[in-house]
This record gives sequence, C-alpha cells and structure tokens, in this order.
Amino acid sequence: MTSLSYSIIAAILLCVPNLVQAASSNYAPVAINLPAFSKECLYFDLVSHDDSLVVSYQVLAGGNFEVDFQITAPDGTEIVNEKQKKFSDFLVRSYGLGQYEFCFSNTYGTALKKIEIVLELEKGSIASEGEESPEDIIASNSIEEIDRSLLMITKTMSNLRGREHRNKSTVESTGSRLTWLSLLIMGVTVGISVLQALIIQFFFQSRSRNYV
Amino acid sequence: MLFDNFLQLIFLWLYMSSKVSGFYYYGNGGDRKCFSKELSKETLLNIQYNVQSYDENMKTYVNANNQEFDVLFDVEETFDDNHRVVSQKMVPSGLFTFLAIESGEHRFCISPQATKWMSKGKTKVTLEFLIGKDAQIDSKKKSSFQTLHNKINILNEKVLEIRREQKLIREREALFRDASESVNSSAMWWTIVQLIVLIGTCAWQMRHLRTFFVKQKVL
Repeated sequence: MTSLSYSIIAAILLCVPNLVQAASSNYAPVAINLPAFSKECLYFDLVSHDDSLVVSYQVLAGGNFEVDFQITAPDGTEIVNEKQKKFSDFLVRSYGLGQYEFCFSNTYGTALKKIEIVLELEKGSIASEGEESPEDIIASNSIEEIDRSLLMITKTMSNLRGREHRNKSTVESTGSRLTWLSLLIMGVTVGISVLQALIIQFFFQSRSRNYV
Repeated sequence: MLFDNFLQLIFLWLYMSSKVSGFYYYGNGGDRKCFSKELSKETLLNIQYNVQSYDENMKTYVNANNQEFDVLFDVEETFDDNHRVVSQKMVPSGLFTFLAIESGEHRFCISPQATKWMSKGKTKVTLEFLIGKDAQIDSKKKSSFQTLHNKINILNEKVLEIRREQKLIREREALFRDASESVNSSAMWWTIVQLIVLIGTCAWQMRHLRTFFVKQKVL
C-alpha cells in the first residue's frame, strides 16, 4: 500500500457521490401515520444549485383522504401551500441552498391518515462521462429512454395503489353501512308496528269506555 | 488487488455512513417513529440512517458517538397482526438491511435510545430508503462496454422490482374482489332478513289486534 494508492482511493471517494447518485434512480415511497389534528414535518437539505427534489404524496387511508401540505424554502418563504388534496406531485428546483421544510397537517376530520411520501433527490438519468463511440451514445440514449419509461410505470403503479386503497375503503364502508342500516330499518319497522297496535288499542279502549 | 478493493469498500462504507442524502426529522431521544412500506417477497430494503444529537456547547447537531445513543430498529408485519419480525439494536449511524420474507406492508420503527442518564436529548434523524441490491458500489470502469453492462443491469433490477410490485397488486386485487363479493351477498341476505321481519311483524300485528277486537266485542 503506497501513498499513491491512498491518494487514488481519496480521489475515487470524492467522485463516488456523483457515481452513486448517477447510478440508480430510486423511487421508494414510504408511508407515515398522521394522527388527527397533528402536523408532521420532514426536512431536506439542498447543497447544490443543480439538484432538484422529487416530492410526491398520496393519502392511502383515513377519512376523506385529504391533507394539507406546505413547502417552505430555506429563507422562510412558502413555496407551496395546498389545502385538502388527495395526491400531488412536485419537482422542487433550487430556491436557494439550505433546509427545505415539508409539512403535512391533518386538520379536517378526526381520522388517522396514512400518507405515502416520496422525498428524494432527483437522481440524474444514468448518464456517463467520458468519450464514447457513436454506437455507445445511441445505446446510452436508448437506455436513458427505457429508464424514463420505467420511472413513468413506477409512478403510474403508485397512483394505482392509492386508488386501490380508496376503493377498498369505499367497499368496506358500503358493507358496514348495509349492516347498520338494515338493523335500523328492522328496528324501526318493529317499533312502528308495536306503536300502531298500542295506539289503536288505546283508541278503542277509550271509545268503549264512552259508549259502555 | 483484493485487499485494495476491500479497503475501498471499507472507506466507501465509512464515507457513506456519515453522509446520508435523505430526508430528516427532529425528535427527542426515546421517541419512536414509524414508517410503513409495501414490500414484496424477497425484496431487499436498505435504510441508511444517521442519528445526530444536539450539542449544547456548539449549539448545533453533531454525530452521536456509540456510547451516547443506541438505535433500536423494529420491523413489524402489519398484514400479519403486527408480528414483529426483526428487533435490532444498532450504532447511531449506519446501514440497516432487511429482507422481506412475506409480501405485504411492513412497518419500520426507529427509536434512538440514550444509554447515559440524559434521556431527553434532542435528536435529528436522517433516513434514506434504498430498494434492491446496491448496484452502485463500483469503481470507475474505463471500458464503455462495462458501463453499458452496468446500466443494463440496473434497468433489469428495476424491471424485476416492477414485476414484484405487479404481483403484489394482483394479490391485493384478489382481496378486494373477495370483499366486494361478500358485500354483495350480504346485501341479498340482509334484504331477505328484512322481508321476513316485516312479514312477521305484520302477522303479529294483525293477530294481536284481532284478539283485542274480539275481546272488545267489536268483531
């Protein structure tokens, strides 16, 4: 191990973040739970003017499936302020370097909301540096296009997942409404008929009292 | 040669473990924060995390050292009655790896626990969720054929992930269909029950009034 190889390792390490970010485009949504009337904030630091953030959310479960969402720039200005939306998609370009704040508020309704979030740096397309022959450039372009299409597929499937959850919740609510309303109707039917019988009895009893 | 690569990997791991490029949140020591994620069977999930604690003297967040904080990771399968699959204590900064055994929604909970007496320190937890194998740990290859090869491998990984997700969608669709069918049949049964109750009540009412009128000598 010579000092030369140490310096080579150091040079490679400095290049590694670019390699790492250029190599894989990660779209991995995670879900957080937001109790009623609470606010949850996540933060992200932007360190370079060329970076942009992929931000998207959808409400998977709870109540009317809507939340409030705000994005605050590092200097305090509010970039985005959305009220009561079911899902949304953003690409936040650099409004200045520093800490960006992403807040979800569950202000309407008493249901616990489950929100699926994607909050990542936009990884550049898998482009490479260095000289390439024309065939390689064509191949690279095709690969980039396939990559973009795959990202679109992933996003579409993510939206589908949100719709599935909403459909499932509708079906479950239909089932429970059916049960409770049926019981209510049966109770009301029996109650009304008993009441009718009693009232007719009452009328005829008082009538017979008068005439007998 | 092998030792060179090994050393590179070590340096890379050390470098990456202190520079997590993900989102972060503020909390207190001892807070348990949970994130849910749908995973299909045999998907590898890496969580790169970094817990920093607030230093009163420097008035900023610094990397916590191993003696101050332990980080407890729990993984529960919410589709299986919150069955806890993994519970692991780890150092304040590093990589948590999880291989999903079953398909479904898993809940990952992080709780930084202070080992010393100060249990209410303010913490800043940085997280990055990475799916699939680490396709990026690769030293710079000169040959463009190699880079094309790598890129196609990455695309292949993504396509496999999409296939897994589609299998999950199919399973969920089956559950949804079952739920729909059960609501449909319960609609029919409840209507029949309501009809029976209605006819029964009607019959009872008529009979009751008839006996009453017979007693009253109206009939």
